[in-house]
Amino acid sequence: MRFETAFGPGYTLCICRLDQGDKVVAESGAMVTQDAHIRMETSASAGKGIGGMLKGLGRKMFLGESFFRNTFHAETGPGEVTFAPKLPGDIMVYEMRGQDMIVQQTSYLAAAPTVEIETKWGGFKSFFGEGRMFWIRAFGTGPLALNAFGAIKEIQVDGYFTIDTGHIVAFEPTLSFSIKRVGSWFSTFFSSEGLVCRFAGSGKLFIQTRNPNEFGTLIGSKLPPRNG
Amino acid sequence: MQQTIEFGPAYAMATIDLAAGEDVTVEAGSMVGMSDGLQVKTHIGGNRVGFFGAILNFLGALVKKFLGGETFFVNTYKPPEGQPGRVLVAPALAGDIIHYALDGTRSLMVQASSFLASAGGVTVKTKFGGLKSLFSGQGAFWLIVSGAGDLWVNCYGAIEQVDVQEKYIVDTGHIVGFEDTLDYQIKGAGGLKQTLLSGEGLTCHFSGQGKLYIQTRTVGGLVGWITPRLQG
Repeated sequence: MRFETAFGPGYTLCICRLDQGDKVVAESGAMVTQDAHIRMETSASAGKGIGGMLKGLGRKMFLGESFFRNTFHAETGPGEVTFAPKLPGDIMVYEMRGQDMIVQQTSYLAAAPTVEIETKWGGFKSFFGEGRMFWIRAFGTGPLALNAFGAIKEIQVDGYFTIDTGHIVAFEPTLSFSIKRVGSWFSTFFSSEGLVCRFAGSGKLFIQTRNPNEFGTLIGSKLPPRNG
Repeated sequence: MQQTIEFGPAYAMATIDLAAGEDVTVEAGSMVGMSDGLQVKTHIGGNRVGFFGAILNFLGALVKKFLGGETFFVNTYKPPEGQPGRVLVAPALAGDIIHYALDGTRSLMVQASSFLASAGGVTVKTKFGGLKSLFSGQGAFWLIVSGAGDLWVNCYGAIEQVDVQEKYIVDTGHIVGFEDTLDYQIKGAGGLKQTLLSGEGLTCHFSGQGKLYIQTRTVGGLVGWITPRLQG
């Protein structure tokens, strides 16, 4: 299985080339093309069976969280399937080698089925940031494709570095972190900076050069009010 | 101060490295990341000093907020005593960033929503663009940026630098900034009928010599495109 990207950083497409028998899992709604050898299977990411599906449906209804991930199976021969996120921006492919990665949920695009996803990761329980943010823990082995709003910059943290929560794509959990205000309470209230995440230790951090919520707020404030 | 701009023109981000004792002032909400221990001070944009100056700044900010929709506050980031620091900044919209070094001999007029950051001995004053500018599709305010130091401006889309030699006409929504050696006059695209029907809105007529920066897209254009397509 090979993951490639094209047309980045503005309008990146993720191209997955599968050998016969390979599978790739992707965020629901992300599929752009699939060839004749690929068959799609849908599964709920909230857990197995009917219970998992209901739980997933509940989350979708109440939290607006998408819970379905689809599996694309190159059943009858080698095949190609492509994926794209909703917003313009770059896609990075990260090779998982048994370590963990903490991913901002909307950045998850696709992965090998050997990359497991834990959606109930509790590390960020109090981490609501601007708007609603969910975090997932990826672990296992194989390629993991993450999408961003804007370009992606890799930052090697050695010591401390602080990032606006809306700009975080993913980070290696060798980094510890704490959620902070920017400056004083006065600053938090008036600075428009919201919450920031102060990372400590040694590890890689991936950030996106645009903040989806900030963009939404800016455009939203110029659009006519929604009726009802 | 050292700076680099990456990921332009679509998704530019500026990395600003401060030496000990330096600081940078950033438009509220535009800080992406920073090194450890920076002191952050939030204040109202504007440079008037003293008690009455502060009141004038505040009133100016209020007027700006309600008429122009621009941000009220800026944040100043300063590294800890005797240490360097790093600040990453990016605007909300897709587009480029340019760094402009002011040498103290000329000032720059900047569309208020294009201000991203400033450092060194740069002063920023607000100027109301006149009633016409309220209909220009951009903010109603201009910033007069002067002094010697660094200025970062952001734009929606790519940025083009024009060396105006004599006369030049630009749609007001596409102006990012221009040197004050240029004279300008805001006009309708023609007569009243043409202004209303041509879809060209207001234009800015420049004369003289100086640099002019224009953006290849406008926020007003984007909003105007989306609005009629929204479901009621």
